[in-house]
Amino acid sequence: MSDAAKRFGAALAEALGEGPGKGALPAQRERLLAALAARRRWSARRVAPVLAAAAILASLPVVHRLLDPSKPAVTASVDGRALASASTIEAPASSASVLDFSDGSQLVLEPKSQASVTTLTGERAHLRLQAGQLRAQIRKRTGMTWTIDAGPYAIRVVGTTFRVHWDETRGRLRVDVEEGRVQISGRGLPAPGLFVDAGGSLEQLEPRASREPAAPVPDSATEPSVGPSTPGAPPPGPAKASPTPPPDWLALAGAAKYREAVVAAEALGFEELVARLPANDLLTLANAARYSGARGRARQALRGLRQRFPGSAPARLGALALARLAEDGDKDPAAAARWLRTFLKESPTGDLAAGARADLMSLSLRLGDAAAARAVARDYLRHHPRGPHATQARELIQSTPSK
Amino acid sequence: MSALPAQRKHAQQERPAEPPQDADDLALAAALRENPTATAERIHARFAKDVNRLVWRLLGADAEHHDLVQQVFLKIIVNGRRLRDPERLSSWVQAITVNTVYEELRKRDLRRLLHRDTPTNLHPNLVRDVELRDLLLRAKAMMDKLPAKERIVFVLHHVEGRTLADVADLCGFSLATAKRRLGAANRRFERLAAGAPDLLSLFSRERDAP
Repeated sequence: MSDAAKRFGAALAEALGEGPGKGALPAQRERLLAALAARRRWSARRVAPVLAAAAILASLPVVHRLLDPSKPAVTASVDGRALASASTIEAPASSASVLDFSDGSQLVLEPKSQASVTTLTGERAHLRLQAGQLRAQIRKRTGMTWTIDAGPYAIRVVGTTFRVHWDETRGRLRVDVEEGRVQISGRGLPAPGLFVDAGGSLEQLEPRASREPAAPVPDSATEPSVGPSTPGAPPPGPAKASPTPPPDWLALAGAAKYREAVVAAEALGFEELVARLPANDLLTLANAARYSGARGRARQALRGLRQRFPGSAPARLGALALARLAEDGDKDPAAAARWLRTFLKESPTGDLAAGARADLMSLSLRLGDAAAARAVARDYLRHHPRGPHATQARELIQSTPSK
Repeated sequence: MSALPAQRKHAQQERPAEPPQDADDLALAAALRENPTATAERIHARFAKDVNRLVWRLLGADAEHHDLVQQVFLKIIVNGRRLRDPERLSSWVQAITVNTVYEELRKRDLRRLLHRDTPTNLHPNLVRDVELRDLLLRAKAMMDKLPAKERIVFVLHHVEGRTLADVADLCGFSLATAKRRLGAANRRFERLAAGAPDLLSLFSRERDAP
């Protein structure tokens, strides 16, 4: 029958032609330019009073205090539990620990690694990686200064994503920068330190003669100590920068080769990846599985994401992806509606909320639940009064009397 | 589901680069990123034909054709500074066009759920040929019964003659998804066409006519 569809399509194309005709184009152009001119006038009228009001408000002492970034203290949680100040975190042998900071930054402490938070204010965060490896994703432009110490080295960050591996027993530091830039200073490095840019890495052996006594590491009876993650230590000496290739499956997913990415992930151990990947990579893995049609694996990755990183942005997006899987893949509108409700409960005002509410309206109508659809329509108008589906939401509310 | 808008960013970032466009397009892309509003007239002159054709085919000579074209160009200008890859200007414009029509079709899907008797309207330019108008009206009514996400893929592939890889790129989803949606659209079309066998034969005649 696709032949019939093909014939129908070709005939329809011929019948339709190329468009409404060239004669319509000048009028279209004039209308577009008029709309843009109206937009500019509207913006000028709207923005000027807002700027003036903002300037007046900002000058008021009470508002100034509210706007002062030094006031709100940043808080942290480990795997969803609040972290007390000056705490030490030890990641279990089988899974990573995730430190979420209230400014949006996130640190993933890899299995068997140990770190402590020594200072955490609204302006400064200071951590020490005692042993093992962590991946840091530091939120940009929050006005905070982040420093991560590893042995005799200090890594200063403004806003970036990078990995740190500190092998305390060999005195070896490795830093891989994924985004942004870090400044690394410490023993054996030239003052004021070395800058490493995105895509670069630094490997540095602490000069043996200057080794300090080892920082405390977990008791081997309870938590095994950490060994080097890369074989063969480089000779001591100045740091060198070199590009670091990402893991294969991630590179394949980045090149839109989703099926190959899932195969590569299976070879590494899909379950293990679900158990240890940081949140963003896990969402990428779930999406690769989703796009390649591996619905079971996608669901597994998304559920792992939501269990391991509850409340995080990727986990919230995971609910939306689960809704899509339920509707498009499983043809289960009731499950899709449940996941959409979960997503909206967790992200009531995010960028994707308007679309999710429109989908939920539509699904509720398809499920024959007009009352639920009306409730979603009211919710839609409350949150997105000028949204693209506002007209339909109003029509829906007016179509049946509310009780 | 709002799969198209949500995946647009992903598509723009992760799809492999196209072969470079000609120097005029690269200069136009640079100007658009620098000052979108001042470039509006040039953008319209360069893409009016392509955008009109795509909207016309995707919506099927719709009564609201010019409004949709206007929306597309406004989106291009408003988002001009966000164009990441100047070498993909043409693809980016087409993707915005597809996305705008998709959003419109989704609105209409929802409206149809509310008011089952929403009439199908044709653009007044087609009044000239009563027979053709009737034929297109019936074809459009059939297309209106396809859900937005299936209709977009069906029309891009069967009417516009795009490859599935091209459809996936334009819509911002994977090739597998494009194949799945086309399969679903074909099956639905089959059911609809079974109820209107005369329409298919009329279309065949229309095409065979000299």
